[in-house]
Amino acid sequence: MSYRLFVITLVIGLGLGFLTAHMMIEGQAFSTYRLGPWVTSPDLGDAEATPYARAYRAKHAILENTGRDSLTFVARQDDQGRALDGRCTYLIHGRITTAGWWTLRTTNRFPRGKSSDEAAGTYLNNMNTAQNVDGEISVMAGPRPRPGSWISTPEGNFAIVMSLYDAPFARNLLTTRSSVPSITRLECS
Amino acid sequence: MIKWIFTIISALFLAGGVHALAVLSLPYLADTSLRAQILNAEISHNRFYTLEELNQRGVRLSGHDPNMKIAICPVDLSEAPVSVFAPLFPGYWSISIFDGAMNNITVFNKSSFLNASSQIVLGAEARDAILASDDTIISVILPDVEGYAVLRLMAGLEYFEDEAAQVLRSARCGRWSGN
Repeated sequence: MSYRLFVITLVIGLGLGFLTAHMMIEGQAFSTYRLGPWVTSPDLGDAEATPYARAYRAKHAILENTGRDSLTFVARQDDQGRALDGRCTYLIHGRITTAGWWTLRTTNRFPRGKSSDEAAGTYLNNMNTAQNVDGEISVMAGPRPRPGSWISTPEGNFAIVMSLYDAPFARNLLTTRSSVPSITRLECS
Repeated sequence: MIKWIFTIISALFLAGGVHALAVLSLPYLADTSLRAQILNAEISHNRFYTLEELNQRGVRLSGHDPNMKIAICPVDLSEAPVSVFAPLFPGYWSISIFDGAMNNITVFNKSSFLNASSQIVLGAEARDAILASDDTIISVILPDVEGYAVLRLMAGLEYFEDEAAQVLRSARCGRWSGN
């Protein structure tokens, strides 16, 4: 092989190798489940996690409980597949089932982003959020306060993070779309 | 033409090898991992640190829930087993045990922790496997001498915030002196 072809081999091989590794680690390849707009990695904290999940954990310094105790769902889109935009107001509606405790928050990036709730002080959890007789929540997420349950949204694209705790049966949710809330865009300013 | 085909195939094989090496070695080499951050920050083992204290020492976690008050005890089992204790709390609480590779070994929480007076004792597999037969403690045997105990509290309501802070201050993680 000529020197030129050797260099080309090296450049393509190294570049492609690192690029695909980065993409698959960030995407937690072979580790995620999707329920509508919600994505979760139930095995992220487990010893049986995929190599991609373990690399993701180490890269971002994540200490995640096993999916047999808790689950974290992240939504970066609404139910229609549009990216969540901080200029818009969304309705998060439905039941959060099979969890003794849960929290809901928004963040400009996940996992390394800043939670806008920390600035606005709008933390929502199962103790301070109203539920109807069917156990459903109706939470508004938007840039301006609304009556009822409301969480603030950061500027630009953002993510909604729903964390379930003391949820030993939460893995059973992973096949039932109706067991997680819907995210509907209402209006944009 | 043949040379170019050979070049592309060689490049793909090289890419596959680099990909596998990068993915498998990252947990051990990343200076962003919790283990590396704690080593670099020269943090003492076998005591609880709140997230604020860790941040002040340059140790940062990602993805943690701001609704939760969190304290982490980097555990060193090289000399003796370590016991973990936290006062009970009316809101949500959990004590999670991780091995040195940040794999979650087990979780104790409000629902699963049936005996409020039991101690949680962490031991190293090579030396302390006998602890598993002791009925007076709840033993967790780690595969190696390093690990983490993570205490999480969620007050849920402002009413319980002060009590949550008190529980964090009272939490203990230290050398177990035995019964």
